[in-house]
Amino acid sequence: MNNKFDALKDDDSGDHDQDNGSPKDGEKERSEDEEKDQNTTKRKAVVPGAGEHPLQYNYTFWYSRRTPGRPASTQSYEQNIKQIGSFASVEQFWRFYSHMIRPGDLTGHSDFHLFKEGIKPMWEDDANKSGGKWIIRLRKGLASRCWENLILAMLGEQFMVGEEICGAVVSVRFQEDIISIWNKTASDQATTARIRDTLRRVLNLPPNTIMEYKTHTDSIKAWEDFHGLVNASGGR
Amino acid sequence: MIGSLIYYGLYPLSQLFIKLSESWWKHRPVIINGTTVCDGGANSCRRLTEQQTALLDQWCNPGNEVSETPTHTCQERREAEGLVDSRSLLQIREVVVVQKREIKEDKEKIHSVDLMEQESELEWELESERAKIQADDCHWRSSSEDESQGLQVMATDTGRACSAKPGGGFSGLKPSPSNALPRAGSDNHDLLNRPQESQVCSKGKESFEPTAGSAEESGSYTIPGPLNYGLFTSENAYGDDSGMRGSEAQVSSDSLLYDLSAMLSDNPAQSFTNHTWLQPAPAGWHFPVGQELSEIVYHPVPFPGTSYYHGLKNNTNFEVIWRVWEDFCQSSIPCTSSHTACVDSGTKFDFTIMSYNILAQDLLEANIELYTHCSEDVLAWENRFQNIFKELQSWEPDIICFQEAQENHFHEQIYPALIEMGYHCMYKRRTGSKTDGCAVCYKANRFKMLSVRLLEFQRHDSELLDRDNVGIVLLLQPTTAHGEDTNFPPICVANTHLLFNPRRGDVKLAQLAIVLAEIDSLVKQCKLKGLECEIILCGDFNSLPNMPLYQLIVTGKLYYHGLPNWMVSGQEDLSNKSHHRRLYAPLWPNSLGINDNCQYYDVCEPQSKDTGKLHYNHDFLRQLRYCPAACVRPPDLEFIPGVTDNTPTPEETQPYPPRHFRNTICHGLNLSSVYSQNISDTDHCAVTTLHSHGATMVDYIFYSTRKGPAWACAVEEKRGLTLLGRLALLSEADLWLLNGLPNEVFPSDHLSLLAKFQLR
Repeated sequence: MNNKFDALKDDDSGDHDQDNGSPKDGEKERSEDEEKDQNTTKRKAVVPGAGEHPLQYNYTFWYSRRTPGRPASTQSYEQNIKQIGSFASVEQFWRFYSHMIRPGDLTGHSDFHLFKEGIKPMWEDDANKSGGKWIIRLRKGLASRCWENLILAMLGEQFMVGEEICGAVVSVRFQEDIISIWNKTASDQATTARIRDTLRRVLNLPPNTIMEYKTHTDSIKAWEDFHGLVNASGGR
Repeated sequence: MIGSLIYYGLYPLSQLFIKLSESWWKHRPVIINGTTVCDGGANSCRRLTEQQTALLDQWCNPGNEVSETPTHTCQERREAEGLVDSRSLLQIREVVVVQKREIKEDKEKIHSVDLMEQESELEWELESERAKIQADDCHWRSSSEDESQGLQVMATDTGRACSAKPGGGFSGLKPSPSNALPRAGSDNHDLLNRPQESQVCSKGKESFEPTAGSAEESGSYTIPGPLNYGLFTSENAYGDDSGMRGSEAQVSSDSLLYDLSAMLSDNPAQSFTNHTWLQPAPAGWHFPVGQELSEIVYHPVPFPGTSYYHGLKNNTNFEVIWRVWEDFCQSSIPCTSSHTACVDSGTKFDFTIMSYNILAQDLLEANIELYTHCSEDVLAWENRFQNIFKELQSWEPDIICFQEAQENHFHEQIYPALIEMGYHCMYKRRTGSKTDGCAVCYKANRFKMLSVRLLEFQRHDSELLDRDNVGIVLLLQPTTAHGEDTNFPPICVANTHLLFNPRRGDVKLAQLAIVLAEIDSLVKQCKLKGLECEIILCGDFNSLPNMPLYQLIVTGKLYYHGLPNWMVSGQEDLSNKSHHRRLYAPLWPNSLGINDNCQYYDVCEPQSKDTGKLHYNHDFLRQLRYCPAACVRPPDLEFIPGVTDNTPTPEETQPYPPRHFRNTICHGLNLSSVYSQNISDTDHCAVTTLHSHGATMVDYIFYSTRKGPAWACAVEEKRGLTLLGRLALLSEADLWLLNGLPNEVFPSDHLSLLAKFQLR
């Protein structure tokens, strides 16, 4: 079975270092347990505050960063991905968002993820496993605006594709930034087309922007091929 | 004496002409009382030599803009001073007056006309539907005659005209000799300021008196119905008598002797000595008009050219209509004679709307240097008010949008007068210490007001919006005799007067955005009630056609990144200035609450649509960005340096990040302009305002269209607004012939804009 956080090793970033933690199964289980602990004990189910504007779904912010060197241990893996917090209303969203650095100002090899509460930002999550994502590569300087537009459209239910949306990711890389939006059913062309059109509209994309749709199955395969090449010990 | 000179000058020419050019004349019918006639042998008839023709052709080259032609210098004028007498005589010649074809009862007149026809033994074509002067084939057509095509002169019996159109007209020439019909050569207003020119004028007046007197004798001038055609001719087009004028050049004012052979001379050197300056902006067809002319002139034999006017004597008044009503829909012609005839047809609602910058007296006095070409009488408010009022009375628009309505004048004079006429008015004074403002008045029996918004563009928290301009946006529900008729959608009428300053395109755009956002919000309100509302946006936009601000209105889109500020309106070309400010995002502050689509941020609570989901748009979400609840750091937010250590501050580095991403502003109102840049069928620019510093089009009426060309008047059931007609504008040359603006005819430094729409 694949690492739950394979998704974080965004193969679309062009950075296929095997450095991204590939923890052993046992370690993975442990991290999952920890998360559950977090969610159940520290964080109660979020609800909109009084007088706040409820969102259709609750969402969770995640942050990940590739640490320099080889992240062999669980600890280094846990530094890679962090839940920042969950929210249930517009006001709560801004509360988190306003205290976070804009993606364009992030340093290094970092990602923000915003997923519906309960969906993990990884290919293997039940919600994602038959899904895919639209990928837009941006030249440096545009990520902050596009990211904000993208997540506002998602939070405001502007994609109009029912339950299809899973979450969104912004990946800060050296040469470019990548934003992507994940949906549940890669084979549903009507849905993916509608998402694409909404993206174009809400992001105010230049007409020549290239948008690419990639199923997670392909992503996994590509990752496996690559990983198999450079890290045959993976044995998958 | 002078008359005899004219006679001698004219008679041989006309005789010669009549004999030689019967067939030629057949092509130029003029209609009187529905009968095609001609001003036979009028002194406008000239046979030109080849050289003369060639030179005239050159002069009358359509590309030869009138505005470029006043090349004659003061020196030239002085040299030609000797010509003053004969030249001013020519001013007497004025207008052939033609009756509108509908008016047919005046048998007597027809008879007299017929007599003249017999006299002149010419065959006239009777089938011509309108008294259109077909001058196309004339060698000596003057350059601005293009403009006058389709413009005709009207003679109307006083009584009839009054019954046809109560209230009389506004655009007629006054008969008084003292207020001087348009002077020859006065296309350049500087003329009036020169001593020798005033001499010219006084001499001109002298010789003019008989005509004017006769005009007075024949009673007051009246105006035919508003939808008639009228010719615009009193500009003494000299272009058609170059041959004669050339010979006049030889005659000194002392000797007053005409050398007939010289008059008919082919000698181009003689003929054109003073040609250029004698020919101020030739335009229009030109006829003698004074009935008494023939009596002044000694003539041994009957002179058809003058005898023509005997028929019109005593029972006819002359009126020159300066502005033409242009009908776009043939189908609407039955409606044109009366404003109310087909109003209540059930499925169609016809109405007229006027936009009029009436020039606030305070502004006039504060900028008197713009009106140095005007006499004091013309500038006096009481006179101007009377003319404005006459104009309103003659057209009685269903909706009037005023700009520069001075508060005291509006409340004390205009408003009471309009109340009398059945109008309801909304007035908005400019902010600050400005004394003028905008007003929208509508006929209370035609519309019911659903809502009104008085707009101020001044924002105290904004450096950009620190100007005192205002606007009014109304929602009017058409009503019919049967009461409120919900068959018709409401009409959103917006009226504004944007900032003048040619260098501040940024301010103009922001002000326009406020108006557009208000319209948009009214439209949305209507949509919530299931009504598709129509839009009319009018006013003084202080911007030229096809410049960026105008483009934004009619195309719905403007890419502004790096655009020089002055270019937005294009009133002045400031490209030679080394440093011009340019437009960069953001165009206006977020605090204005208006997005790039010229819409207010949606501050409404989200509406659960049929999907049962909570939808929020970007604007709504961003409204809450810095709400108190959002500025508190979440207690469970882990502090990660460089990731979650941001502090929310409203002045972030990108205050308007997504909004201006494309450096484009848009609106979705789908507007078209009633007026186009050029006068119909010509390449002459139409202007709506003129003063000493220039003439331009800055006033507009825009209206919402629903796909398809604006004046495609297809018979098929088409919802929305259809443009039925408009009152034509004039060119700069036309207006200078009236001594610029304001003048005796037009009381403001702007022309009124008037359009007729059909609502379905």
